[in-house]
Amino acid sequence: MSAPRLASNALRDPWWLRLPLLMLALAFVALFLVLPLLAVFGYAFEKGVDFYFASLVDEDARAAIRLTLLVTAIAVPANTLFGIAAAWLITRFSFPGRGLLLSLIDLPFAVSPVIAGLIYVLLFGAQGLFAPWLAAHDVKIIFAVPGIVLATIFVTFPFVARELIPLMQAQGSEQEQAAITLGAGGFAMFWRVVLPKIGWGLGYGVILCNARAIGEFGAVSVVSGHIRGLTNTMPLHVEILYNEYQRTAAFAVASLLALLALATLALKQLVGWRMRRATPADGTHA
Amino acid sequence: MRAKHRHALPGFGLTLGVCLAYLGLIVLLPLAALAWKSASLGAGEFWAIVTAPRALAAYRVTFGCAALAGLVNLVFGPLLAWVLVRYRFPGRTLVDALVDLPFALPTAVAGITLTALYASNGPLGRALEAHGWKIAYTPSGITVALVFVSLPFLVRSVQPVLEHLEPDVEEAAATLGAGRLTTLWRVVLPTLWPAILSGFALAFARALGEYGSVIFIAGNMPMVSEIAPLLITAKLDQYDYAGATAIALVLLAGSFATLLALNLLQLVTVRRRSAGSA
Amino acid sequence: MSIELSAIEYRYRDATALAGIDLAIESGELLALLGPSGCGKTTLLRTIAGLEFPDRGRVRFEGRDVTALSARKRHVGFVFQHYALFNHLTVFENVAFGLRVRGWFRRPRRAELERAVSELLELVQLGEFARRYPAQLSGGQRQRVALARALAVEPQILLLDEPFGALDARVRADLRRWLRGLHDRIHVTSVFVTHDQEEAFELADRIAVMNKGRIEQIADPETLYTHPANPFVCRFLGEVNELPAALHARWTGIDDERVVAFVRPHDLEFSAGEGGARVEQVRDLGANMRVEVRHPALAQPLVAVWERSRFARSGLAPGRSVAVSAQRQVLFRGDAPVDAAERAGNALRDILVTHG
Ligand SMILES: Nc1ncnc2c1ncn2[C@@H]1O[C@H](COP(=O)(O)OP(=O)(O)OP(=O)(O)O)[C@@H](O)[C@H]1O
Ligand SMILES: [Mg+2]
Repeated sequence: MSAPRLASNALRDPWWLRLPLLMLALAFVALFLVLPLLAVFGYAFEKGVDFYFASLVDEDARAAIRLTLLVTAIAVPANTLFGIAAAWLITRFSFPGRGLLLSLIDLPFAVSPVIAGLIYVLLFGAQGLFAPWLAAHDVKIIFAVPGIVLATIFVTFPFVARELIPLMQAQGSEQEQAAITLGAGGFAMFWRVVLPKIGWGLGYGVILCNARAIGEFGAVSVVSGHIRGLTNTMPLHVEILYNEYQRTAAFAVASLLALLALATLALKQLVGWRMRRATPADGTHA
Repeated sequence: MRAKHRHALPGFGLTLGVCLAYLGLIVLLPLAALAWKSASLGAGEFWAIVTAPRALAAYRVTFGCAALAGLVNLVFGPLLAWVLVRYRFPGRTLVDALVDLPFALPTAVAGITLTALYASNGPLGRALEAHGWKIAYTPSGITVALVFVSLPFLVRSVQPVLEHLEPDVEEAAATLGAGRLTTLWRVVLPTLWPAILSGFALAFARALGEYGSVIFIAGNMPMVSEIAPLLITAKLDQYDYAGATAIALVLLAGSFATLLALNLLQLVTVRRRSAGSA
Repeated sequence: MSIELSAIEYRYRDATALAGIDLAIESGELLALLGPSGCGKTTLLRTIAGLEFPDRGRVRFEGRDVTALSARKRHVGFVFQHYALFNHLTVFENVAFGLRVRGWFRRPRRAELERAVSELLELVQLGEFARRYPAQLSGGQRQRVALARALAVEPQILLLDEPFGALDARVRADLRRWLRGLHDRIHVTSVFVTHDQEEAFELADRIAVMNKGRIEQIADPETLYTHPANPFVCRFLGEVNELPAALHARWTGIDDERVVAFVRPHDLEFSAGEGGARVEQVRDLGANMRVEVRHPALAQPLVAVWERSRFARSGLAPGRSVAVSAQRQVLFRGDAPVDAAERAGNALRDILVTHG
């Protein structure tokens, strides 16, 4: 949002108020945000560039990166499809149970990641509800990749829907109705009208979903079993290295994640900016 | 025949099917497993687990540190929002973007970084311990980690309200002869309270469940610096699924109660606002 | 294509929007739906388009029951109140949309499509704006794009929801005349919604006046004006004075004092003299003068609107005592009009004011 009118003198704080408040806020930001961010890279390079890259090309590190990419490549598209479906359902139709559906979508935000992992262990774990069936068919979910994917999907599925629902609510459905009266089928309407309309908001939600999917730790840690080279994602690999007193190597892998976080922040800023610019052009909707 | 159950726009059946299937598989079925597991415990057994001294200590640490971190951000969150919205200074956009860092940075990375900084051999830890304040591996460390992860909630819930604050109220206060501090305290702050409280509730609920950023810095000493989520994983490591489930239910109840209180609060303020404008 | 609505009922969760609508629209007709805000005009229009499905009743096109048919299959052109243009598409692509989404076999070839769209853009006088985006157009231009887009699929029925609602008075008047001309050329069965009675009168072949989910009267403008079916219609068609009056039966000599005479401001006559009424205020409206007269027996002042010359001749000024009479009036007893036959057998003895 653009800043409110700053011209008015009545809205300006006097310097003896501005200066201390600004200093205090910036000191807080420096201590809690900037310093940790710099520290990640500082510790990552404390043994030099060669050691840094050696840590990244390490066999287990590469396996962790591959697994994280795989999990993200499944969870993010799945949640994107679900997010679009849920937003369409909730903003375009009224039906009994709509409110309940809305709160179910928010649910993972209220559930500790550890509990998100736990519920899948209870279902698919060695003593779980489906354990006999899984054993009989020789399917492994917990301490294996499917469990990691499920847990990641659980903790990240609200992001896209949460971004799209208010956006689509505000945009209204007149353009879609117009498309239908012009003879467009559901598919044509979606590609030609809905997707261009929600594009930036969708991108915003996907970025957030992606960041969380890559970085998820608690839920994944419970279902992963920490098997090196097999079920370690990048955050889990960081944990293991750190606990084995390989601090520099841990920070080297962590610095990759921090870079991703920075890229996420930059993209988020960019998309947020584009989205705000795109909104007034919609014109028809106040 | 009633045609009413038709919808003008296509896709109702498809999206309803997708949502129900997805939510059913990903959310409802697993949560049902939670209920199923806890039902397998008798009431007495359940009570014994959730009121065991170690569990009680874990709640105390979890809820206490979450509340403390929330209080710290209760001050700094709105302050940061105010500075970002009202002041112009070089690097403002950068700071604005950085506020979301705790959302974007994987919690494990935050955890090891804060630990390295605040441990007794880290730069901050050394300085603070020289003054007799040990942070890492104590509840203070947990609080520091929770301050980090919950900061964006408070900033981001207050910021939009400040952006949309009509300037005329402040101008009116100024024309009535109120000093700037009086205006901020008596005119601006009261309008921010609902946003501040809702930010606090979201931050608190998030902090209750936080795991990754806390476990490295916490030291995880049972009875002293062990948080409830860690107690759950500890029980899981010993294959005590029923025990883990019981603690999980208490933790869930805490988060739900917080969010329920938030919804009620919002209901009340919405009602008061609309009553005021009528 | 003719449209036939029978016994249409529509409820939103907490409000009845349509409470039994019967309406027959002839092929090629231009019909106006006129009524106050919230009376159900939009809902009715959307029901015809298939954007809402009625709780009860049937919709027929040319005798064919389309009640359960989706909007997509009804081939109806719909112009939305706020145009609902596709903001991410150019004017050209907006108009071409309906042709591009056709089934593979019915889709026109490229050259054909370009010709059809260009022709339409010429028709709505927007040829040079083809490459612009909707955000770069004025309100009136957007309106015409919306119209061209709806016409591109060659609909047999054109529905317009307050097509000029968001435009300023000048553009409105221009566009109105232009639309009438267009309709005279292409003769597509059209229904448009408005709450502006002047617009309805200027444009429509027939006008349906709606109130609270019902149709109060449907008639051509002339009939509607001279023979309103009830006081609501009469009041809705413009400012009107309501005067208690007495109907004197010639044969029995009995006065019926339950009738009310509805007199339009320009039909009201004042003559100098002791009539019990007094000129209270005179306002200059430009082309006309507005005279307000207070009568002790009436709560509201009587309002007359005269041309300047007529006013100058009358010599009225504030404070003057006057007698009141009417050139023309419509009589209602309760909600029912006093019909011509009854009028013939009785004399309108007095409008209250003159014998006051
Ligand atoms: N989505 C809705 N939910 C509930 N009630 C509605 C909804 N849309 C319309 N209504 C109600 O239905 C009635 C008819 O609405 P409709 O939009 O058809 O009126 P209208 O004649 O087009 O009014 P206007 O001239 O203001 O556009 C109104 O009382 C309105 O409050
Ligand atoms: Mg309407």
